[in-house]
Amino acid sequence: MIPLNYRNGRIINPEIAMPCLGDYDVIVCGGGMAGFGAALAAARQGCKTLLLERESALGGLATVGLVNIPLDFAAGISREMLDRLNEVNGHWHRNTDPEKHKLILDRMVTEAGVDLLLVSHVVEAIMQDDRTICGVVLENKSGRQAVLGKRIIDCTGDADVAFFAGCETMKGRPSDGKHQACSLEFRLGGVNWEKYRDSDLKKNDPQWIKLIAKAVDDGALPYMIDNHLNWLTHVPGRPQHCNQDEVSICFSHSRNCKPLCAKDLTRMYLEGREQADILSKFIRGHIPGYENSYLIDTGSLLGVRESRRVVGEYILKTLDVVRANTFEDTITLTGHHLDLHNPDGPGNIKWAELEIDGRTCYVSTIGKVGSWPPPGGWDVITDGWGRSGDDFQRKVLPTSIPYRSLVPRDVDNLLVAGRCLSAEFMAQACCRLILACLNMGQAAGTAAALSLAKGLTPRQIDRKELQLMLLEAGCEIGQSFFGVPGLETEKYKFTGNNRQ
Amino acid sequence: MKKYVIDRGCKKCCSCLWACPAQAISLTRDTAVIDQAKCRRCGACVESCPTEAISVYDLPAQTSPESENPPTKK
Repeated sequence: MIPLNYRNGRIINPEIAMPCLGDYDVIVCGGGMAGFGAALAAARQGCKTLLLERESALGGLATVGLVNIPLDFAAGISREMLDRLNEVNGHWHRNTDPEKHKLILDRMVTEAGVDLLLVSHVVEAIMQDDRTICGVVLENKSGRQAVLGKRIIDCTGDADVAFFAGCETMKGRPSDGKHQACSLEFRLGGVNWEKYRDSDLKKNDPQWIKLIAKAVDDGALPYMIDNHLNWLTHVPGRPQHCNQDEVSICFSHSRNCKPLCAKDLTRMYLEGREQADILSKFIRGHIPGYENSYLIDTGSLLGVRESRRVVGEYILKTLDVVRANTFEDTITLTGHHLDLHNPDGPGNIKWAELEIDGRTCYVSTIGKVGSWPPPGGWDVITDGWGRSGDDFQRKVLPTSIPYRSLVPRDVDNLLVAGRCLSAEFMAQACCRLILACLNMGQAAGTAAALSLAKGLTPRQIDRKELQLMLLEAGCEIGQSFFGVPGLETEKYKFTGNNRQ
Repeated sequence: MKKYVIDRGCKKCCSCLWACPAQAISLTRDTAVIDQAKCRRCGACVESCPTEAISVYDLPAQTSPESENPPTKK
């Protein structure tokens, strides 16, 4: 209890003594895919590891948020996780069963000896001095508590810990500060997938663009929620082809989002659930194979694509992405392209405005793709070197993520992983897939363990030692595409369909 | 002989581009396409596609996989 002490519109919190939960080698804040990878990697290196998660299950958006699409390079822990899911019929076609996924994550962290605390919010950073973090404050049903750690890994997605610790952070689009659109996923049951798959609609209007335009015109849809982001993913392990298939849908979108403001998050949850209601009824009435479908649930975690990003030792540049630049200290790859869910209108934007050789270019890695053309139309699209038209070359190599993008510039003993990595706005838009986050987490957890073993800060460790540990753990750090400078990587190369 | 075909349910997520050991898949404005001359018919793309937009067709033995409109669906 605190006494009422009200000054200038604020309640003053007096000095309080908090119980200390203990002393850990590594504390991982956030148990989404990045935090899962980080905690597992650190614990497997013998670190006493604590994993803090604010929801009631691990996996973040991939499970609680129903985004059951683990895309990107599956190597190291990601590969192992998909193999474990395959064993329980919880994965096919890069779609997972969220419930089975939660259970597999629980089992994997428990087997690795990670201490896990669910339903616990990290609310403050504990600093030894201005530059050195040494613990966090958390809040849960047991009250406000402290926990000390030699290395802290921020996998909160919103770079909460880095922000509390005083790191400089970036947020939103540089031109107007707007964030990527947020989505609340939902699931439909009772779907006849085969009927939909073989329907004329899927053949002629697979993204439902004409159908939705007509529905908005004649009032069947009250407003343009989106026009082609009908990502339907077929949940595995259900009775198939007997009118009982289950489909998870990324379709709803909130615009002009403020994902760091509780009031606006509330607005987006309410809006997402209204949209799921509107869309599920619309789909039932208009889409072949969905005549008997019903809404199973909406995600209990909002799909925030971008919020705070930390300023690290290196800020991954959009130019690095579009040119597939490589780094000495690459710790993972991502195969995704520039993929911005439009902050203030329907659809998505798959090009970036960049200055190349002194002129403004609208750069895409994959061509004239996306909902909206750049100013000047599709013909002005260039590749990473400013070439357009017949000279345009689609990017064929993946994007490298350097270790330095996980090391905050301003604070020691802290690492970040996941969508809050140190990257420019559009560069981040390609580094946010589920397995990319997990792979970054594995690298951060391994780096924390290495820095402890060597008695160095994470900033000081030898990138080659880290990379060797990652290679030994089966990770893809560029060896299959570029090699790794100064390391003999031939025996670690993935070939064929093991590349992903 | 099998033929692998990507339909317009393709969401251009590029999963198959990385899964393909022959680098036979590229992207157009609407969809990803498989270069039938490069395709090794291993099926890695089918498993990698999150929207189940890649189908396999059985072709009669003499038919070239480059021919249009595969006759029978597997």
